[in-house]
Amino acid sequence: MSAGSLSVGSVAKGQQYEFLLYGSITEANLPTLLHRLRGLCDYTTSSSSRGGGGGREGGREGVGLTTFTDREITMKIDSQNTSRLHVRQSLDLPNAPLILSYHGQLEISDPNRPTAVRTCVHAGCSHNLVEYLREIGFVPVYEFFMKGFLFKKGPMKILVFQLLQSDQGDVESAQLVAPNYLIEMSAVAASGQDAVGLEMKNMAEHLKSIVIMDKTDGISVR
Amino acid sequence: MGVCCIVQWAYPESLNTSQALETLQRRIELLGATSLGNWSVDCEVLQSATPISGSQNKFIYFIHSTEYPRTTFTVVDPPYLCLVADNTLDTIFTHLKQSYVPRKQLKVEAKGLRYEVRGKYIVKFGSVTFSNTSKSIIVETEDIEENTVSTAWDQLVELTKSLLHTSVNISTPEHVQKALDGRYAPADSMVQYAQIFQQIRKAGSTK
Repeated sequence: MSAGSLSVGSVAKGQQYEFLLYGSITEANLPTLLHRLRGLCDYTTSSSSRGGGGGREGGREGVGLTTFTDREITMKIDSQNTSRLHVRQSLDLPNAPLILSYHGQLEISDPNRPTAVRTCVHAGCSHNLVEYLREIGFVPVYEFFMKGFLFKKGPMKILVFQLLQSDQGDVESAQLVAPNYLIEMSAVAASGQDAVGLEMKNMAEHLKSIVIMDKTDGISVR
Repeated sequence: MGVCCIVQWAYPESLNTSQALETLQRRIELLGATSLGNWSVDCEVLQSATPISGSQNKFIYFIHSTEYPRTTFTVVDPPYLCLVADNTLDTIFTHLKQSYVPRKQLKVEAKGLRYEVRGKYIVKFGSVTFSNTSKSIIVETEDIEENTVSTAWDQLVELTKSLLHTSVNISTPEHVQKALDGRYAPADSMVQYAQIFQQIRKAGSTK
């Protein structure tokens, strides 16, 4: 328990750094990428993906692939230029908690860093999270679905997915935003653990013949 | 987690807070209760910096309990909606200072002793302090075997009355009333705490 945890100057509990690299490939190159990642990454049977994302083994590409379908809603306080919060929900694991995330400013300008870095805080929440946020004045800015594959390699998580959007708010009626697959390589670590960034850069080098991973955030709809 | 009945005790004028707590301790030990140590619940209040969507300002109660050390319960008032989250939620709200500001004079803590009665009930009682000033006494009775409100509530009320030596009727809180046949959850207890803290705050100094 933490009395006074909301007070000014208290230690930021749970605040960590997220190292990120992004990439994109065409649908035609997907099997090659999945094959390469399956060889490079740890074998996962079923596990939780980042955020609210739940994983499920199988999928059309066969054994050793973990698929996921997530919904993400980004919200901010109406008419105020305040920080945005991201709500992520796994549609594969409906009983899994919803994940509320705060992301700091993405830092991409430092040439000495091999990856983009931002602060992040995640909190697992009960299923009334969106209702709660609306009640305290938040309004949705945008909503999208992510459908694809999840890989893990040590502390790294690699998501290969397509973005979908729907007017009805359900994944069945969602339409692809683009046929391309986006790739997000991420690792969460405490401050000062820059070795994780180097490990990610090494991993990106292994994929270079298929996809070029860089610091530009091509995923977030901003 | 079973059904909990949480009440504020308006103890006799002739007693001060520590005497009233000693009285409760004697009574519970006479029932053959086993001591389980201490408990505490703390609460901080955030207030919206501006009215939300044209309505009045909202208050958010952030409640932490020793029973759930890794969890933050936050209750929005109105309408007493409770979100259950990891305690990292506190850090997320420190990034929303432009919109929600802590009310520094409203740091509430309830702490005291915890007992088990006949292996079926947990009884907790302690003083409620607002910014280190003792304001009231709170008593919580929990039926650890039952999580249906309609089955457990009356027995908990009887146990509370016998402890407090009172015949005053204890009304069922509105949100508990709504869930009479549903499963009782820890969030329901936290809404009761938030409501009691709000009552004490509004009543000002009771003693």
